[in-house]
Amino acid sequence: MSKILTESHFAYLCTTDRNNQSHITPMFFIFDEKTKDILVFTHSKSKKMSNIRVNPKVCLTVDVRNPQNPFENMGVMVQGEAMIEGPVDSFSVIADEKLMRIYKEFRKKYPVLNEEQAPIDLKYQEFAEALVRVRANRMVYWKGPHFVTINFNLEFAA
Amino acid sequence: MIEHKKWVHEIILEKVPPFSLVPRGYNVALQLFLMEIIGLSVATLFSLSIRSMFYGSLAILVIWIWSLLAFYIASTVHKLKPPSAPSERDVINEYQKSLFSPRHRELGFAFLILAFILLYLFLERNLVVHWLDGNLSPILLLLVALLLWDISYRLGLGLWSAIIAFKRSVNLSQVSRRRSKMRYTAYEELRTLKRLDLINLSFGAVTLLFYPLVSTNLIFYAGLLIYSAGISFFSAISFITIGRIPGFPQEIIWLLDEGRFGYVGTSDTEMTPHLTPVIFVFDGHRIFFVVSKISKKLRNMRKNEKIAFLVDMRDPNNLYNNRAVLFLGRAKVYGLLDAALNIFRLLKVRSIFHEKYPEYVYKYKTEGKLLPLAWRTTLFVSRIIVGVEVEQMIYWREARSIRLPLK
Repeated sequence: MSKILTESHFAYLCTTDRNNQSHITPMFFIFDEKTKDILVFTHSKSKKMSNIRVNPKVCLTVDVRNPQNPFENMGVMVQGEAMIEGPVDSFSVIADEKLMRIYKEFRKKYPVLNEEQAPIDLKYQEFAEALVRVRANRMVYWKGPHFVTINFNLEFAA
Repeated sequence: MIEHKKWVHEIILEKVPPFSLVPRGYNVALQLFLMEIIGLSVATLFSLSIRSMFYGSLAILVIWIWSLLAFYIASTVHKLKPPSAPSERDVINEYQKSLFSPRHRELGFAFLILAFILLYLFLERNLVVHWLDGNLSPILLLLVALLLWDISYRLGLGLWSAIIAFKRSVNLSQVSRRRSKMRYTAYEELRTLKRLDLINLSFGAVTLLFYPLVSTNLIFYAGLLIYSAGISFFSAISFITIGRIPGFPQEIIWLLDEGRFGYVGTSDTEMTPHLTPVIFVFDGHRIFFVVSKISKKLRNMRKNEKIAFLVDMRDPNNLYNNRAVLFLGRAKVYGLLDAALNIFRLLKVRSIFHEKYPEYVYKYKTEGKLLPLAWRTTLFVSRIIVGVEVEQMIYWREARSIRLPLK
């Protein structure tokens, strides 16, 4: 399961607006193995951000597709709460060690974005203005028709 | 909205008492009723035979059906919403303008048909004698002429409506082929236009009810058949042409045809989103996907039909070169009854599924028996077909988003 979350490049983030209409966006993401959180960067004015502000409940799916065999399709669906971790800009990245670490990890995973070794500020602001942390309440992992559900709330209770 | 002119018939029924006094919808019935009363009383007065009364009543009945159809066409065309693409809006505008031409060009056909009928009847009096049982009193002849005018007027109207609709469909189809990749929006009234063509078609079919009146006369009989066939031809071609107009921009159709996986986003009543990949097909007009009967998706969709559906293409060599289209809309879950009503459409959907995912079909066939019942592919036992009724489209190309209004 961690393998899917660390190696896949695309996550699909589903949010809902105030009318309970779902909205989906493909996103770049990184998986924080320590906290089991998923981190995504997004424009602070995007539709998903306004949705998250209305309703922090989100669903994020990462999957590995196999067009030949349906039983080889794998994926992880994470249902949880999104936390907006403040605006991100070159200044805060340099100032905050934790943000810097996340940012570097992000660059490592998506080297395309790093091509010209551009100074942090210019390149960075182009694609990210806010950091969103998705904290999982529930994770569903599947491979073909087999499902495993991990319920984090229950784990905490126990 | 632009006020269009109206047909003479509409104006009479809306403005002239006593028709203008009764509520809309009843005025046509009142007209039929009055005509029938007058017809029957005159017939009794001149002691016409039952056969003549039957002929007269049949003519009045056909006129009545035509009037209803014409009224339906008129009110639907008046209410047509304009498409958002300028060139397509022009076509619809022209359609409305010429159908209700300010110079009442539909009357031209009517006079032509009436002139032909009267001239022929003048030369060939047997038919009138046959209709009226030999009683050629001037009042009766006047009544027949009146009925003939009513018939000719509607024949003209039907022909005019079918020809104008045919012209509209051809123009609309041509304009839609000239669409560049993204610069157009789907027109949601296409289904209304198809319905109008079907009404035109039935307008032509109703004409065949005149058969008993003209069965003895070869010329009239042939005229009847030619008229009916002509209208059917124009309406059928128009119907088919409209059906071939693509419902989405070309680039999106490409994405829908090539994309192997779609993502369905649903949300339950607690506003908890849920997102899973599905396989899907596109039949040219609508997206269909199949879900398991016990899935959370289906439970969510039954409670909250608002869904999001995303299809994307990933380029493994360049992460930025990513195309995606997001549809926001409503899920239509095809239960047994809906499936029975849409049987041909769903059979087509099934065959597209087989064509698009041959490997999957093969795997499910060979290994499907090992699956628990809920994950097998037997329709209605374990799987349900869901269609997406699109209300909004958002398209991303290289991380830029393009919003496409549907209305």
